[in-house]
Amino acid sequence: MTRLRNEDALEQWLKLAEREAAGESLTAEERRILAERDDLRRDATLDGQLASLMRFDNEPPGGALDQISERSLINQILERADQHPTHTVAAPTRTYTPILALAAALLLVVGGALLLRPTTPSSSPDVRPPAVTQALETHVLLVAGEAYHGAAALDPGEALHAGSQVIVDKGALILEGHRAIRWRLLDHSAMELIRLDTAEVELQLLRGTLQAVVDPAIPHPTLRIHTPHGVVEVTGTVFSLHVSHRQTLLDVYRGHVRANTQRTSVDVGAGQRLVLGEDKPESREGHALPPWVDTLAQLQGDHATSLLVSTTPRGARVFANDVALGETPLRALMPPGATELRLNLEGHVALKEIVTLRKGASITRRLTLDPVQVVDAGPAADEEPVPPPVTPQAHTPAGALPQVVEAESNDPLPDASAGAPDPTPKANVAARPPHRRETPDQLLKAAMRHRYAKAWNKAERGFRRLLKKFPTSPEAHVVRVSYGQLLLDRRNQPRAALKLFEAYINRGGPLIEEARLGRIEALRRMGRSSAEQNAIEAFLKAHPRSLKASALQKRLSTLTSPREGDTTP
Amino acid sequence: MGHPLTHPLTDQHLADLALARSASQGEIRARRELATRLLRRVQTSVRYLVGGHDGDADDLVQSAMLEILKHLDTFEGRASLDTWADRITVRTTLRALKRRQSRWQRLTSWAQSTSRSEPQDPCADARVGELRRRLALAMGRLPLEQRVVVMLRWVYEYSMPDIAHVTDAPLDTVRYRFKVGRAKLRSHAKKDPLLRAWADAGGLS
Repeated sequence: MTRLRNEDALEQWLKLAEREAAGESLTAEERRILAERDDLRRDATLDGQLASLMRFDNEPPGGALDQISERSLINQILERADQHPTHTVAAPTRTYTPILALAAALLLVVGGALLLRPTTPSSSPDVRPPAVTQALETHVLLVAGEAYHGAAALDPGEALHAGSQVIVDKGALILEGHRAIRWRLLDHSAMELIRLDTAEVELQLLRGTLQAVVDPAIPHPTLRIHTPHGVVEVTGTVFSLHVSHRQTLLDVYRGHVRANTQRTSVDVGAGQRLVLGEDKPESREGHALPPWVDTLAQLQGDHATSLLVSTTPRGARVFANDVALGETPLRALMPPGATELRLNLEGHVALKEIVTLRKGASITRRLTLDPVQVVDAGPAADEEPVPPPVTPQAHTPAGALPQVVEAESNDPLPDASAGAPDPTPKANVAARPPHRRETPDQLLKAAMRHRYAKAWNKAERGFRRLLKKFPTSPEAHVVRVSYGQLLLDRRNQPRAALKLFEAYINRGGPLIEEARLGRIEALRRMGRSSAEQNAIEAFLKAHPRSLKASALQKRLSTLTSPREGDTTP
Repeated sequence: MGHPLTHPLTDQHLADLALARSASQGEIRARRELATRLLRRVQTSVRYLVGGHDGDADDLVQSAMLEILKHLDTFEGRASLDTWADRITVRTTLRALKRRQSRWQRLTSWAQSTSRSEPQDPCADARVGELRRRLALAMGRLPLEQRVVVMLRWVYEYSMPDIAHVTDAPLDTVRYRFKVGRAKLRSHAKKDPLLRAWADAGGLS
């Protein structure tokens, strides 16, 4: 296994090793050569160990699928492959051409005879009965951000079929499954179309947020949505679903939705919210329809105009006739006609333009947004006073977050337009003092650099700044875990940390395991044993193979044991 | 277990060729047999190439499998079916990764790789899985070209000329990529407390 460099070196090393073993004193150079040999040997051993770990049991890292999942995946792949047949099927080889030509001629003769024959219903077993249902297609109406079908980026107008898997990494995606059924997926959502026909539109929301409008005035298939925590059935309503690792939240704005789980079947009406699996829905504040209903209504599937809006810098909110569509870069199918486009980006001059959209045409608008003029010299970004660190024990009786996170954590739906029924630009935009341009990425990296340098105050300021300036950015989402850990480990602020961990857990992400561990630790420090127990159970269910699993099992048994002797009702 | 890419046809290769031909002509049983045979291999390759992000890996596995099924008629039996599939998997995955290497993915990858990890003494069952997960993450921190070479060499024990053939790269370049990639991976492994503790304790032996 050891890879020595050459024969001479081997001989030299052996001699040196013998001399060393015999207790002879070695020169510094000789000791260096021996140490180098040891390093090489250790490296070679490590290489062998890593290689054997990589091909361990001939299984993929992360483990192989169980037989059922594997079979299901193979079925799915074969189905998709059949939709795009191989070259051979499409272009038969020359050897078979005469046979195929003969077969085609026979088919023509038989087909012609069948066509010319008088039609007698059910007279022949060869004639297939008409299908009860007809397959549908789902069409992409809008892409604002990054949305994929498999590994391919999605574009408006694209058709999706049963079996299609859709991921929205960033931004929003709007789909139309039927003339009466439209839905929007927000960032970090993953969905699979299970069935698409005139009887039923069935899909699975694996994670993220889905907002749907089903028009009861138009006859339509039943919409059925599977989530990890239950199934919802819809026939004419406005509702949203938010799936996180922990729960599925159903909000109904109009009509009724039936939510079925293994235990319960609950009818949820307008103005109600239900956590799937619970017996009773809660009343939700506010009965107005959310603004995204207008967004869905603004788009058009058939005979539409393709509109592309991109801006420099990106991320400007686009309004069409005062309806928020999404953020740039944005591609959408719009109804023809004169449309007022408005673009807003914080710190930049808002733009307004009237475009005439013609049926079947494509319109592209690439715009540059100018920063607002300097009104007075504002502080540079680095000199901006940083809000004092939050001391949750002092002013967060309800377990509130540091202020910058609270706004988002109150609303589980990360909808940029949800809180803005009137999308009029903010009056103070033009008067805002200019800031040096900072991106979330820069802020995150700077804060993490401070964190690893153990400059806790600077790191905390960086985290808070990122959360304040870009609360809905992916970077802010990631940083919640790091900031939560900092608050927990360095500031002894479990309450504030808990809020951050829960905000992260609700939306999910690659650091979900760390966030769940953080939540457990925060609850433990707060002395909330019952909640801690639930959190540990949830963790063990989600990460049964975690390194912390055995330690948490022990902790769980410690938490549960006193209850056995507890006689209180 | 070598993978010579040019060799006289053996019984195994003839069987591969027959299977691929049947599958390319739409024979359902052959297509299923072929997909079943290649799925784990494709999953292994993709997950190491992706660097442990399962959400992406599953999509890419499907894409690679679809490409393999789509191009079965181009399989001529000059290499083994596995090698031929590896070549398609590597190309498809690299293409997709280069396209999809968005800011968000780089960021989460970075955040994940710098997340806190303490040495543990886990139970044996969970340990190998976790070690492999960490190794896949460490792979994800190598440049794509080095990742491919290390994966083909260590997982499938390809020779350097075979890797050069699969990756369409000059032999010297492949050797260099392997040398550098291996050193980086070793370095990442040494920095990971769990992997280091495992290696110090003798690895899988």
